[in-house]
Amino acid sequence: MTLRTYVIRRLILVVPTLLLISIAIFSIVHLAPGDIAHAIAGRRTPSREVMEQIRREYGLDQPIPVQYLTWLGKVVRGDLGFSYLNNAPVMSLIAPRIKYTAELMLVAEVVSMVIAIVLGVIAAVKHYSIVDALSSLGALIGYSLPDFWIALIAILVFSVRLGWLPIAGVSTVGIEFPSPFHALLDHLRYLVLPASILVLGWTAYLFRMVRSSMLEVMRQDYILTARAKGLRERVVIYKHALRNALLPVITYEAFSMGFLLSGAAIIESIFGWPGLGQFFVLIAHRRDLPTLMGLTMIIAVMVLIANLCADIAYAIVDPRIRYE
Amino acid sequence: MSSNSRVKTDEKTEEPYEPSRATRLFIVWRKLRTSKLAVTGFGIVLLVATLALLAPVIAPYSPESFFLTMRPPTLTHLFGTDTIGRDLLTLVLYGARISLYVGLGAVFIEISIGLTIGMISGYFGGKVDEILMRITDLVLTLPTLPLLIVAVAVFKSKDINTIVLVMGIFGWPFMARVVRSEFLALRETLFVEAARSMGASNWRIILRHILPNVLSTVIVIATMDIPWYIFWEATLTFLGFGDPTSASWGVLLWRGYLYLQDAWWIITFPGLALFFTSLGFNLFGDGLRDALDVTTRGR
Amino acid sequence: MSESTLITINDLKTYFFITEGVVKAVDGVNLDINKGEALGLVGESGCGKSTVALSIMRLIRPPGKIVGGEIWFEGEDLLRKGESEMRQIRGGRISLISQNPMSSMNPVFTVGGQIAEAIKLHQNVQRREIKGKVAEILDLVGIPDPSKRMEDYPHEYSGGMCQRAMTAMALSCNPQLLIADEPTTNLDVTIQAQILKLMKKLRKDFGASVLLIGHDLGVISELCDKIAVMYAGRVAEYSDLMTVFEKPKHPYTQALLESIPRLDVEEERLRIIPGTVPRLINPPPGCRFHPRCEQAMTVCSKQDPVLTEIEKGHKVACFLYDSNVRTKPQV
Repeated sequence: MTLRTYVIRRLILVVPTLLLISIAIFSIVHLAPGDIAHAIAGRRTPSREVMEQIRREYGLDQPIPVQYLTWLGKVVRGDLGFSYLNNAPVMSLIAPRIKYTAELMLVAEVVSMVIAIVLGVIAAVKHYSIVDALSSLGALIGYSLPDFWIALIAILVFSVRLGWLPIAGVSTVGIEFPSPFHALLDHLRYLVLPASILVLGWTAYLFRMVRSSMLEVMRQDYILTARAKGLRERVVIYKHALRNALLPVITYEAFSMGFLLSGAAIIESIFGWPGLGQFFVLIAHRRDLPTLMGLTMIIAVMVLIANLCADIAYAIVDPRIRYE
Repeated sequence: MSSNSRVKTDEKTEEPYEPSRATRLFIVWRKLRTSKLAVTGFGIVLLVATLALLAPVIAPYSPESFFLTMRPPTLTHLFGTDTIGRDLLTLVLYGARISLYVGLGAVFIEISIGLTIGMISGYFGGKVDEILMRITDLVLTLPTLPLLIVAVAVFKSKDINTIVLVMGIFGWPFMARVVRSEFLALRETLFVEAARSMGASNWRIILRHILPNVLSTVIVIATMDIPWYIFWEATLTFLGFGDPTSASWGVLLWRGYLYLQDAWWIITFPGLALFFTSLGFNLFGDGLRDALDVTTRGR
Repeated sequence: MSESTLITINDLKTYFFITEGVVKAVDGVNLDINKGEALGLVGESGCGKSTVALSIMRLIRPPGKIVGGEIWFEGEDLLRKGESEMRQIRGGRISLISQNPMSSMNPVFTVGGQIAEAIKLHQNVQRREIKGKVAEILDLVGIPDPSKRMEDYPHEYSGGMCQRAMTAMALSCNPQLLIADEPTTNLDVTIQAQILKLMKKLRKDFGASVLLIGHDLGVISELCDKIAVMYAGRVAEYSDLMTVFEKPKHPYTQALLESIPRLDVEEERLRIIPGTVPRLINPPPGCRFHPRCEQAMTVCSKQDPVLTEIEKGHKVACFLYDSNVRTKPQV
């Protein structure tokens, strides 16, 4: 099977999966106790007109499957519904926040990957050395640290006591920056703390994966062959070993989009970072159901895309997979 | 020249060594005992468990007694007091009970569902396997926290049991996958074939022959998952989705968050407890995994 | 050391330092291989044969360490050479084929690519000519449709084809010595025969010396001119093929040959060598074989026998043939 066939097959699978997810989301929400219209309207006591409008829009007098299809139809067209609580279409509430989450996650992701791979390789190659022992222990500690707790401690130390970094937000409001560069620097000051906390946890886990994968690979027969050919050790490690060692890491990374989003949600909430995660917590608290449904759908799509990319990346890198 | 009468006996001859299950357990035990990290981890877990169990007995005060609010740590209140005046040390001790309950409860559910599905999927294969795996993969990749939040928010329940249930329900896929692959592998082994040829029924093979071998992996996964469940519960409550009156560490941290600047101890001690517990389980789980790994791969 | 000697191993000692103690995997091995000759290194599993191979290539990694001896190759002691010099020798003048062909190639690179890697390292070949060379050598080892198959990945090759490809990789740079460590052990019997036939042919074509390591006397006898029998880290007997088979002198060799089941004689039970191979962590003093030897004498448990030439081209390490021992009264 060529790469192209594999990709096409995978793409085709996306559709039914999305459908399944949408059904799941729809069902969960509609299983909620209480009157749906009330829930959709939010906690405020809605007027009769609003209730009528809701019933019409969501077709609440129709049988459930019809309701589902109506909703689905709208979703597909990009209309994620209307948030009565916020008095705005759901999409308009979500869209501007995407970039913040993306920025935070991307930065944290890249940094943690780089650190984890570099350290992981070193630790594996210098197995049993001080570097290995220390970094493994450090990783274990980092992995056990509850991120929201360490975030609070960090705020306490760096923002409250030392005053080096801001507590929350994305940038200082109300100031005119002399140049975009200054604005960027200011923005970075806000990014440092949340990104660092994320990096701490993610690097720890990734490091362990890279290290154990690398150790496993270095024991393989083909590494002996590579050495026996007369290759320099550096080539053996970085060309022959690393590529194989990274395979399970790639799989894990992309499939853990869900996990990464969870982490981001917590951190965003604590640092007032206006991304999807913070929004999620917000609307969950206020039980803004239409927005919740819409946002969950978006998140599910994001996760799906990430999985797809992972699958494809994996197939590109490991030729054995295409022959499943 | 072929008589075996003159076998030298001045040296102990060693028989090829085929460890029985009892011997394997012994090797595991010995490996565990010598690994300093594993022992430390186990010690911590034991400590936390003991403290949790004995909380009502050893806590200096009752979680319902009220003192001066927001007092820093002193000799009478080693951890200080919280925002409504309860002794923090007491709360932390009681919080341990909740955390352990959550961890063990969720893991129990996770094992029940995950093991069953993994067994069936891995052993019987075919269509059943495919369908189950599709579902498993789907749930596996879903973001845990958002889903937990949705579930808790939608069901409007702040009861701890709901949280435990939901977590277990979202946590089984990983266990199922691993169990399935072990079953798949073991299904093809000779001893299973032998059992089958002797007429053992499918269920008998599953339960008596394959399962004991898979148990060690299950235990390792379970041990390493407990800290995650404790963590998720703390996160949920921290974000405000739990029961605000409970002594859960997450709740304490939630309240402490609001008074971060003034009362540093409120977030420090519960957080430390959370970290410590996590660390213990992780250390022990790591050690456990290493010990079991080596035996299966041979000495 | 004569003009025709390619490689001489003197008193090689390679130990493994593990927590339970020191494993003396190779404890004083002496071997010679002449140019164009094929030497078979025979012994049971765990006797140190592979360690000898890896020692020659200086591929011993911690916790192993070559602690003593000399390996003379083309007038130089390999054990004194620097790492970068060894790298040139590995794959270029001495190559290795190992016993797990299917796992010996990197699964994420094409077969052709891995062979090309070896060629690029040791030979001055133009980039556009490399593909041709790879196809050429694959063809030589009997891979059908080489220019297409070289773009395949290792998992698309069968076990036998993998071994052929590995052989191609090893021979691609015209080495003077080819070390084959149990090349046919993990292959089907029929494939085994094919590979052996291939190796015989290639040996003739390339004129390389071969060190064939194995435990299957049948396989060894197919290819080799001389045999060295190893036991527990030492060479017990060494001579040319026919001499060892017809006039084995060392009790171990004799017992080995006796244990081969025979079709022409009716026997109720297979003959075995009683006891088991000693663990090399704390080997018994004296001759390593003495606990299992029917002809053991007192001296055998006290001193190490030295590999001595008892007739031209035939060496044994056994006190039975040590003239000093024979003349003294047995204590």
